[in-house]
Amino acid sequence: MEMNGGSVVAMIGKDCVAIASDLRLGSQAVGLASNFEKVFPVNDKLFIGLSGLATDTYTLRESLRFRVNMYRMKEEREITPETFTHLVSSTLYEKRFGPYFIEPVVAGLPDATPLNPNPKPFISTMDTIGCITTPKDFAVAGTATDKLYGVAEGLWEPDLEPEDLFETISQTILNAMDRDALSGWGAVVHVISKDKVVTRYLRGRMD
Amino acid sequence: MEALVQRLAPPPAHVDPDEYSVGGDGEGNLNALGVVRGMQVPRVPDPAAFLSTYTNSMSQNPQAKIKLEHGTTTLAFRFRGGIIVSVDSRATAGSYIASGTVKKVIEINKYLLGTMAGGAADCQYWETYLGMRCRMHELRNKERISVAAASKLLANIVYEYKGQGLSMGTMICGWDKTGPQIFYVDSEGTRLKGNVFAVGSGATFAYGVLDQGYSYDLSDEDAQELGRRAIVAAGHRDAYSGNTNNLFHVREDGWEFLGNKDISELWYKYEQEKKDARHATAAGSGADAGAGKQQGENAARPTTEVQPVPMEE
Amino acid sequence: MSFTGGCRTSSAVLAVNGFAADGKNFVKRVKQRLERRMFPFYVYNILAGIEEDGTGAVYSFDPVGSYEREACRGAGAAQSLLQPFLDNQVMQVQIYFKNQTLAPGAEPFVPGRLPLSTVLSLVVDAFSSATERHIEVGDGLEMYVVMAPGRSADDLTAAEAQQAKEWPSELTVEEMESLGDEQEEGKAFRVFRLRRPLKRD
Repeated sequence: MEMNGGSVVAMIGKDCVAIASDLRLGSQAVGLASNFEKVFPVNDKLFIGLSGLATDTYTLRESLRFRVNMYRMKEEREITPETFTHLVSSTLYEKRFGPYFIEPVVAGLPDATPLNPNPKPFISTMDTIGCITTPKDFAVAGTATDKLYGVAEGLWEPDLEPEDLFETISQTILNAMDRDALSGWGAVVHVISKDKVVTRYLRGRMD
Repeated sequence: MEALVQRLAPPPAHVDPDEYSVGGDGEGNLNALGVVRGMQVPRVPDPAAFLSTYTNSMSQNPQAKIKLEHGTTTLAFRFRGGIIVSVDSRATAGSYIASGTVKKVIEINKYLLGTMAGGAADCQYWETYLGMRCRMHELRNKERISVAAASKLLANIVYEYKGQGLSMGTMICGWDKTGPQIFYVDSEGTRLKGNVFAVGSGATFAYGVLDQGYSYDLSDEDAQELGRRAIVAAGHRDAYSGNTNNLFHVREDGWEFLGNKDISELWYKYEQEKKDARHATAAGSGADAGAGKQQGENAARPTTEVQPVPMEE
Repeated sequence: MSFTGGCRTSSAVLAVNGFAADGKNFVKRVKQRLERRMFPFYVYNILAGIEEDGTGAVYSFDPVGSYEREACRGAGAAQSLLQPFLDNQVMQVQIYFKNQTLAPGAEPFVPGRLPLSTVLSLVVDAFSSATERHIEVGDGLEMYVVMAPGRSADDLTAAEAQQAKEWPSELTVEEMESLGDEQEEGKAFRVFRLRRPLKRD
C-alpha cells in the first residue's frame, strides 16, 4: 500500500452517495503522476474505488469489467451494488494466498425494483482478501485511512443533500491528504444522485 | 535471557555528584568540550543499537515506538551577491505529516545560519549551542569567528557522539573576512566546503533545478528565485518535503529573511506562468491561442467541473 | 484562551497548571529537562497557556526536545485522527480556515477569536470521533481552560449550560487553585478543569 500511495473515501447522503479519490501515483517518496484516478464507473449509478498497489488497480479493474460485462449479458440487467460487492469479494478471495494489494470501496445507488421499491444508497468496503463491511455512514481506504476516519467522523452527518455531501467528502479528503505524505496531488469526487452523476476535480496541494 | 535481563536492568544506583552540577568552564550544563553534563546514555554495550530499537533515528525500523522527525529538503549556494539559503518546512513521522510549519533555518547569530535536516531536535539543540560557542569566541578574541572555524566546532562536537545515534545534515552558512562561505557538516563527521549544497530526501530534485540555473554571477533577484524554485520542485516531487518555503539571503552585513511562502501556491503560480508562456509563443507563431485545456487556474475551489454524465431513465 | 488535549496513555499533561506568565521561558526550562537525547522519554508534550502579549499559545514538543508554536495540535495514539480535523476547523490559512473559502459576506477568520463554546464543542467532537475509531481512546475527557487575567468566565458558564442541555448532567466544571504569584484580585490567571464522559465501549 505504501508503494504507490493513494486513498479513497465514500459517503452516504440523502438519496445520494459520493466517492472520492486522490490523484497521486508515486513510487515510494517520488511522485510520478497527478492524474491517476482510483475510482471507476461500473455502471451509471455504481462506482468502485481501488486504492493500493497501482498495478493491481489496473488488473482488478479489467478483471471486474470482464465479470460485470459477463453478468450483464447473462442476466440482461445491470448489476446491483450489493451483488457487485459480492462479486468483488469473491474475485479477491480467489487470490486468498497471494492477494491483490487492493482495498476496494464500492459506492452505488440501487435502482428501484418491484422487490425493493425504496432502495437505500449503498457503500461497502473490503480488506485485501474480500471480507465485506457495509457501513451506514462512510468507508475509507488507502494510506490516509486513519486521517480520513478522523475527519469523516467529525464532519459527516446523516441525510446530507448532494451539494452538502460534496462539500463534506471534499473537505474530508482534502484535509486528510494534507496530513498524508503519500496521498494528494489533487482529488476527484463523484456525487451519484437519482438522475445524474456530478464529477468534480479538486484543486489540492501539489507538495 | 539472563543476559537480556541484565542488559535491560536499571543501572546501578550511582550518582556522580559532578554529573548534574552546573558551572565549570562550559556554559550552563555544558562543559568546555560541548558535552552535556548529565546527558543520559543507556548503559548497554551498544547504545546505538538500543536506540534504533526504540526510535527510527538510525534505522528504518517501522516498529520503533518513538518516531523522530525526518524528511526534508534544504539548500544553500554561494554566488556573487552572497549566499542563498532556502528550505522547506515539512516534518514527517512515517507517512504522517507531523508538521508543516517547521523552522529549518537556525539563526545562529546575525552573520551565521545553519540548516536543519535529520533529527529536528539534534539540529536545533547543537546549532543553538554553536551560537553560544561563537559568541564566546567573539568575546575572547575581539573578532567574529570565521565560518570555517564555526563549522569545525560543530563537526568536532558531533564527532564526539559518532555512532551514538545523532542524526543531522546541516549547512553552516555565513559571511566572514574571506567572504561568503558554506560548509556542509553531518553527524557522520563529514565537513565539506563548497559552492552548492542540497541536503535531505528531496535534495536530488533540488540539485536538478540548481544545476541548470546556477551561475556564480547570478543577480540577487535571480539567485533568490532559483532558491525558491529548487525547493518548490523538491516539495512537489518528494513526498517527504513540502508545505512552505523559507528563504534567506546572507550578505556582507548579515543575513536577511525574505519570507515564508506556500510551496503548493508557488507551484500553481509557476505552472500558470509556463502555460502563459506557451500560449504567448503559440499566439506568436499564428497558432490558435485559445487551444489547450485550462486546468487548475483559479484560486477558488472547486475548479474544474466535468460535464455531468447524463443518465438514461 | 487555549486548551489542551493531553494524551491518555503516557504523557504528562504539561498543559496549563500554574503556567501563567512567560511561555517561552518555561519552554526553555522544559526543553532543558528533555536533555536526554540518547535515552529519550517516550512522551510527546503539548504545552498550552497565555503568552506575555495576552494571546493563547500552544507549543508542541517531540520526544527529544524539538518544539514549535502552533495553532492546534493533537498528540498520542489518535493524533493522526485528531490533527487533520483540527487543521480544518481551527487552523488559519490566509484569511480563513484550511481548505475552506470565505463565503460572500462572511466574516474573515481572526486568530484567537473563536468563541469558547465553539472551541469546547470542537474538542469534544474531536475526541468523540477518536473514541469511535480508536480503541485506545475513550472513557472520559478532561479539558483545561486557561483564562487571561481579568477575562470574564461568563461564556464558560454559558458553555456549561449549553453542554448541560446537550449532555444532561455530564459536564463538570471546576476552577483550579491559583498557583501564580499575582494573588491580587483580577490579576491572576484562572484555570478551569472540565470533565465529561466519553463512550466506554
